[in-house]
Amino acid sequence: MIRSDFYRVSKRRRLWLLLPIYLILLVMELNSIFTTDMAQSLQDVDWFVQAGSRTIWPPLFPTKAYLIHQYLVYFIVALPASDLFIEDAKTQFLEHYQMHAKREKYALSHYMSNFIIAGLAGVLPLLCISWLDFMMVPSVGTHPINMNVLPADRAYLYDLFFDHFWLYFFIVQIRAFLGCGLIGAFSMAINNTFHNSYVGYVLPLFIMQLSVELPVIGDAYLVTELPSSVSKIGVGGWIFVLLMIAFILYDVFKQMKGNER
Amino acid sequence: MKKFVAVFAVFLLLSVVRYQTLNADYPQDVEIEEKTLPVTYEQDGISFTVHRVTMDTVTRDEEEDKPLIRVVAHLTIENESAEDVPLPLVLNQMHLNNFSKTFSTIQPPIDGDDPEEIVIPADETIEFDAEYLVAKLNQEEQMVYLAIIPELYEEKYQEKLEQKILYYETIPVEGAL
Repeated sequence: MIRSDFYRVSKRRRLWLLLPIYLILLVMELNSIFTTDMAQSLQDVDWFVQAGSRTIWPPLFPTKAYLIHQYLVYFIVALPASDLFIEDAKTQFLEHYQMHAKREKYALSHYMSNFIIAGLAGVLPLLCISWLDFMMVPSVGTHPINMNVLPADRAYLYDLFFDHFWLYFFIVQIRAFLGCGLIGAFSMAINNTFHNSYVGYVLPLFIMQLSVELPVIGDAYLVTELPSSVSKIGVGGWIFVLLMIAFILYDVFKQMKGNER
Repeated sequence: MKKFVAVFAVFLLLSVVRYQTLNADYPQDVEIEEKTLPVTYEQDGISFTVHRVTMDTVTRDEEEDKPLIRVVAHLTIENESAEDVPLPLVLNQMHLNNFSKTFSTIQPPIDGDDPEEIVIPADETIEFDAEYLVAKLNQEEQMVYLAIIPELYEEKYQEKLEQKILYYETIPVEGAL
């Protein structure tokens, strides 16, 4: 059933909207490499720093493309498949699915498909940005002494970065995948709650930004970096993540039972 | 699907080749000598001996409203070469640093003289406290690095490739603001 969801999403025309977004991000990253901070770092800014593609890798040294991604990611992950349930309700898909599978399997399938597709859609530009950096900027050995933006108390898997960089890189991408998938699922739950195909594109970003302003959850702002950062998530951030997961699970069970409007 | 996998494999291979080619001339390891103090480094007839490093929180940066830490390295610099050597030239080869990279220059005058103008005569030894002000990070411990740059300051590119970290240590910050 997941396979049929993938096939269905792959035929959606709206996927083409991702292409210009990805291209813009890549062009901005190229611009950063050749004209601004990165190139400057490599040349001579600080005679002590050994700058290289690892030390100025975007999660540690956010470029414009990376910062833009942090905001656009909410749209990117929601665009492909967050309205599967809504589309089913508006068309005859639901009846088609119910002929082939139980309601529980149907709901789980949609959520899993959306999670995987959202994760891939969100991580792909990050991978491309990293690829550009590693292809264009020379790499030098890393040591805490030539890192200037990764404090040990905030960094995620701090030691692994220095000892096994490529393993660290892989784990960061997995974390980004999970973060993007979670936001995609959150968008889907919001769409289902409001019974609308578009509210899930913008409301998660709005809620995440609102969390920054709420003193109650303190360091929840780190959640906004969840899809692409290497920062640790604080207690407030974890509370926020757990609330998101609870909301998603609530909607999953609701969809399993078939409580539609 | 097979075509896609084949194209991706070729792309991946080319990327690996490009990565290896690009990085062939750059060192992938930072040379680090971890020693306990006192530590001595010698180059071109000039030897530094670092006896101890102290660090405490002293003041605030008024402009940026951040706490600052005073780091002092107690040194002996011995000039065994046949020529007088300006102190700034020697100190440019030694750099004290912390994690935030917000170090400052040598602070106090020595015996009323401007450190920038002091010269170490041939075959003489001076004792010297190199004092730096660095930004206090929001943590209880802060790393202090003492680095020796083998090449002279002007040869920037060489320094990047050949920097040597002579000594580093994590020191608890007392009296944090």
